[in-house]
Amino acid sequence: MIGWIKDIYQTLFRFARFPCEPETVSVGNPDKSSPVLVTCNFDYTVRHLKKYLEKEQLDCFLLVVNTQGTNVWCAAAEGIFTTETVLAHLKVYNVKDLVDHTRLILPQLSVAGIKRKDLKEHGWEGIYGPVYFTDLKEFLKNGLTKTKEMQALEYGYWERFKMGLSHAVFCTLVCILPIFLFASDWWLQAIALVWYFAFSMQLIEHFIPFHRLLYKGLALTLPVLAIALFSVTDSVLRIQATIGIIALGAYIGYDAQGHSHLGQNQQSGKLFARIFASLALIYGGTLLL
Amino acid sequence: MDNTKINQEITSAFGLDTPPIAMSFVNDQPQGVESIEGEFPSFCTFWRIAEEKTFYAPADKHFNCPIGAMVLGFEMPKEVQEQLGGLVKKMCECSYLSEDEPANIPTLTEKKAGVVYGPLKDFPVEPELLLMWLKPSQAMIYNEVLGCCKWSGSMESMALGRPACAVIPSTLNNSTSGMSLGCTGMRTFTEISDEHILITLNCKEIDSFMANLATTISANKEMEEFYLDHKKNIKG
Repeated sequence: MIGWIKDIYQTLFRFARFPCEPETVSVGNPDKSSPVLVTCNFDYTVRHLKKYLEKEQLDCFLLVVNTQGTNVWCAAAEGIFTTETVLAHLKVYNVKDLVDHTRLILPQLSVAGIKRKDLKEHGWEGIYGPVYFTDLKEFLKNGLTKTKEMQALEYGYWERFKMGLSHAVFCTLVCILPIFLFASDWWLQAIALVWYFAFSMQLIEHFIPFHRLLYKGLALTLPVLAIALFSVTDSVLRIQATIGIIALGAYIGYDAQGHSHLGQNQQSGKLFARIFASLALIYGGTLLL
Repeated sequence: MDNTKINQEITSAFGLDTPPIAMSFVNDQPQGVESIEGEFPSFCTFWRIAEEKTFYAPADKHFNCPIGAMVLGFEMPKEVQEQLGGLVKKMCECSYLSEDEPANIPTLTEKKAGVVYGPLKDFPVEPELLLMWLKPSQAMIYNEVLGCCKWSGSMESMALGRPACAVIPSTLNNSTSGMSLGCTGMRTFTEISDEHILITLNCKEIDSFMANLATTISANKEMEEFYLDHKKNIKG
């Protein structure tokens, strides 16, 4: 029951860090030849991975490396889940005495942070495992060989929905103050708009024919703008509503970079700043009308 | 040369306030050496006690200091291992250590059951390591004795930082000697005065160390006389 509540909480606030204690765990009855699996200390991952390993009765050692509670993919990209952090863990927990081999099974998504060459220099052989830990049993059974399916990163609708939830919560927290400052009469509509953008940026972004997430966000403003322009009659309010909608669409599209693997290296910061500055100028002009 | 003589020569050559202590890493408690009783907060706490008496400390007596137990290469129970993990995590999180450092902290490669500590002068077993507290002027001479401060193409500093106790495996694994400027933990637990730094000497090198000691002391005396004379002659 507690795990279930934790899952919801950690999904909603996925952008935050949820650390558990770094440790070396014996799962089942491992011996000197048992596999050594490596993961990060993101509580959500560790709980689910332990549960899976126990359920599948896989005898192994699980190294929960300190990534300050960040998940494998983000920690590797941010330089928190690195060769050094893994080597530090191996040293501190004296892992070389636990097993009579030097193989470490690393999460495939840690590839950006953990370099096999550097591990080798320290006497360890890093093997990237499957993308999803649910394939571990088969991977171990296959003699540490990955099938094509095990290497494929799926970004299905369930995963997109969970990311949408987290993104919506994050954007609501960021936008709540500006909404009450600039559109206090329309706060409910504005928050609904935040959720529309955040969910759309995850659930239907792949149907929008732009590469840059910022442009996808702007494209998502079009139907909302059409509704606003038809329903608002006051001309000043119409301009302000247009600015607000574009600003929200641009921001959430831009922010989706941090909530999607598609956004890596897009570097839309300058472009977003220019759009935002222009909108602020126009908004300032409307105050004189 | 016996331990008493080595102790006497080192103490008088450097003008030590506290004579050197010795350590030996053993698998069994030596006969006639008493086990230490009580709880001790750190590995380095033993160094000060060893100035007064000889004793044997088994591995578990070091477990209140997970870092010390790690550098000594002791096998640790799970809870000590976890404390070590937590401590290293804290050290990294507060930027005391950087992420790439823990993996490089030296540890004794050979696993032993305990350590014999005591004053060098009447150390009951073959000493493996000497530990001394030197002031910078004494450390300079110590470096000269070892030939560490020679100008050469590749200059490598021998002063290590934290944890100070890592200087012990560093000395025993692959060096003649070690020097640590003394970490915060060491200064807290040993209460050694701030003007002292930690020096270690691998006893395998004791003969060559003793042979060079007299030459270096006399060379420094001669230069000191020359400088004093020079200072006297060119007084403004």
